[in-house]
Amino acid sequence: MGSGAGPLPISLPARLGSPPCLECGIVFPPARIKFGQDVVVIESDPSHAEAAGDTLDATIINANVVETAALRKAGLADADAFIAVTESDEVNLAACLLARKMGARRRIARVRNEDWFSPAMLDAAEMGIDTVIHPEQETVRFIERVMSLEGAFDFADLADGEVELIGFHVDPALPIVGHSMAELKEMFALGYFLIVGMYRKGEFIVPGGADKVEGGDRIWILTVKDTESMVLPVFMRRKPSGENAVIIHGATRIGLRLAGQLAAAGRRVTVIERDPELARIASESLEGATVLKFDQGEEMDMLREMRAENAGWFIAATAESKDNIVTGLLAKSAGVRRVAVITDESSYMPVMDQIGLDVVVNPYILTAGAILTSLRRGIVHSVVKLRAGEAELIEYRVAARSPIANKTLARAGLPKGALVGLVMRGGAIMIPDGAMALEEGDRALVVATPATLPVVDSLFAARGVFA
Amino acid sequence: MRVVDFLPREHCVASLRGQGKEDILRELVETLTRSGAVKDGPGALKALMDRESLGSTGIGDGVAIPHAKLAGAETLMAAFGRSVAGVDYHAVDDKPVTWVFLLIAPEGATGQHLRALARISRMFKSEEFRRTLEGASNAEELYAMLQKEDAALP
Repeated sequence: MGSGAGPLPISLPARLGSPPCLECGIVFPPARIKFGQDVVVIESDPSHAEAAGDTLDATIINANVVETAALRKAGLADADAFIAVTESDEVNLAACLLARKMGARRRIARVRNEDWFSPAMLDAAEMGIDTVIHPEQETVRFIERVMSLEGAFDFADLADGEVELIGFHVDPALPIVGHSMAELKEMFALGYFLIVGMYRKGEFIVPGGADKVEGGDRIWILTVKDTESMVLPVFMRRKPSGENAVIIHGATRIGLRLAGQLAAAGRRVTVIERDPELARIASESLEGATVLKFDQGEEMDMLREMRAENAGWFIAATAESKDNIVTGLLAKSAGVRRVAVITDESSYMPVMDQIGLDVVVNPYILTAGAILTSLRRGIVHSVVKLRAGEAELIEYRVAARSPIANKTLARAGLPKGALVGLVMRGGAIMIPDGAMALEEGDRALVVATPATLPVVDSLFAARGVFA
Repeated sequence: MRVVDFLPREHCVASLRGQGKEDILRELVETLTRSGAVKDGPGALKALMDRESLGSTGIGDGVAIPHAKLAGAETLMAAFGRSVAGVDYHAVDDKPVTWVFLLIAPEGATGQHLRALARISRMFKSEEFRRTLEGASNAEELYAMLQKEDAALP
């Protein structure tokens, strides 16, 4: 954007300040990056605004985002982008209309209500919105993708969808167990996957050549799109059969959307719901899936009656994070093979696998990732958090004057705890070795722990993130 | 990189005779040694079998993509064959394998062939394409079908 890059006003979710939302603050143009005056946050709640001021390296304006005076003060006339992510669809829409009128060059809005932008209704562009982010869509897409990858618990698209990040549980019986990264590189000669992170006994490891895979590890790999049919057999023992049944708890937007799509894909889907009204609406609107209403305290009996032990998946998708965790645990103890829970309480993350929950879905993080990806500007093109922030996977564009350019990776000064995973150069995707030197225009996928991030950022920085 | 760039017609076998995994891999390696693409046939077979011991390359739906690196190989090379009866390959879905796409990569290749690999997996993921291939009555037809599919992919 050149040196004239203007401010980047953001209206953060109303709940900013409570622990889950600090995450949003961090992932919108990452707070860890010194964006100085580049980011302006407009927040209506005084206490949230104060919390934002403490945690974000940004200018915070405590005002209502649809007040023109606040928008003017935020410098909208010169803004490169305006991101409306309050909890209210209506506010986001109105704010984007105002932002266009006032001159913000790009506008991104989080909108829950998908009906608005169906073909017969509103046209996002007409409404002054360049990118509409649907949190529910992002969440459902994530769950469907993880379900399609046997043994996976995490997934993200990177590099315009050309590269995939997949997190796997390592079964102790897998042939890769006991082998070091260097050995695996030899064994899996064609290098169609690279392990970029391992989580073991409460510790996140960015693996070096001598680190070994152990049974029970959670590992993250990078792989090129469409090679997963080759990758999956490496990480699963045997494709389980006959576990077609899926139980979804919660007739929420996410629950219903997921139920509809899974049923259409041939899964046997049962939605369970406590609220009689939601259950009634669901049974009327949902095609190809069964809806069952239950009363509080009946969960366990119900799971038994449903023969939950035969189900392949239980997905806890109510609006309440804590309920989801509890019913997820009940389902696990009832014998469901894989359990996914939707929760924005990332503070529980460290204990999730110890208590047996297979997949944890955080809609805030998914939404934030989608927004950041849609910005696609400057040096940082996307950021994916591993385990809610124990490491990050960052897609950097290498600039001519980046300190890392034109030096072999072995001598580029990358700290331990950071790893260049894949490099995209022209039409090729490469797994680099120490002898490779990054060049201007390369896109590099780098995994880094929080402690190494400042160094990694400075190695890739040209002059300012949005320069 | 197109698939036909590293798969010449003479590396295609319309009807593999082997009854087991090692037999059919040997047959395909022979096409590579016969054309001169691979000099060390036994070495290639051993590398391929070593890789199989880490887990089958049978990716399901009757498809296997055995692969290995080989010292002395200069470029990425492939051989392709069909087992009409299907062989037991310990594939992920336990189904017998009909389609075998064998890849030999040079030592020290740092992944320039990753897109080619993606292309092959994408090709064979298509049930329609696999059904089309079943209709081939000889190696020429098999190759022509591969060529056509290869050209049609973006």
